[in-house]
Amino acid sequence: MDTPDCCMDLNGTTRMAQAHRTTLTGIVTTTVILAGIWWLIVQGRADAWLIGLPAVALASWASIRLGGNELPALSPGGLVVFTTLFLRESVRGGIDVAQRTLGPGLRIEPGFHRYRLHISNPAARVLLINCIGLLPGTLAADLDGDHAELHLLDTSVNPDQQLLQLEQAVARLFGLTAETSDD
Amino acid sequence: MINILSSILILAGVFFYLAGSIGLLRLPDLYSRLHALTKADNLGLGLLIAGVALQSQDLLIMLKLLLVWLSVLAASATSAHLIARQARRQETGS
Repeated sequence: MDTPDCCMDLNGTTRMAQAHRTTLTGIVTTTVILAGIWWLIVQGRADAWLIGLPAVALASWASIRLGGNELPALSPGGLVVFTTLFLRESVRGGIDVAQRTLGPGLRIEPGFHRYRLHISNPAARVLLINCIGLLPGTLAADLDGDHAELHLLDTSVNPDQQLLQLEQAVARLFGLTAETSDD
Repeated sequence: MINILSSILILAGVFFYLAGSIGLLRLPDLYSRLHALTKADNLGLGLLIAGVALQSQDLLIMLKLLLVWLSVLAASATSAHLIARQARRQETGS
């Protein structure tokens, strides 16, 4: 598990983004976001706060307790880029898997593939790992240090280019500078 | 016009759900099945929700539907990853 520091391109910015972990601002932001979500779910019904207030309080407590209280500032430009990529890849991923499974004779060649992650921010990694499963043909099976163990539906297609594109979009969303030069 | 567009989106959504379920039955192993489920259902639910949102014409309901989609996405992507991870760890014995 000794990862050489030279490969962690984004460490500096990551630490800055994590600086306001478990601070008062972090707690307030988490609570406000969760209260907003509750308000949306019940469509503004006032009497629902009877259940909503304890639920929001418990959810905030759980969120902070589990250490997920780092909310790095998201970049608005990055959000646009990420959302566009996410929607496009969702459509491509869905169509790709439908074509492969509905066609006569399954056109698959399953296998595993290792991909080195460039981002080290934990929140960004969680988002990346989850989104990899929505790209055409890839699924993140495990994380081994800085390498993601991916399952591919079709090993004859190299996914590295689309993975890098996704990773850069995630990095931009979290305001991390993606220096993925050494690949 | 809105009704037609909404129906097309909902039907397309149902189609992808069907494709995901057929994939679940036809594909040979656990990992490949997870591919079919997560990707086809993500797109299927997205289209279904877009179709329903068009019908509602109420911004709050649209936002709520968007929230539903995002929550399901987060849950299904996370559970797919965890299932794959568990299977992989059992296979490789680590």
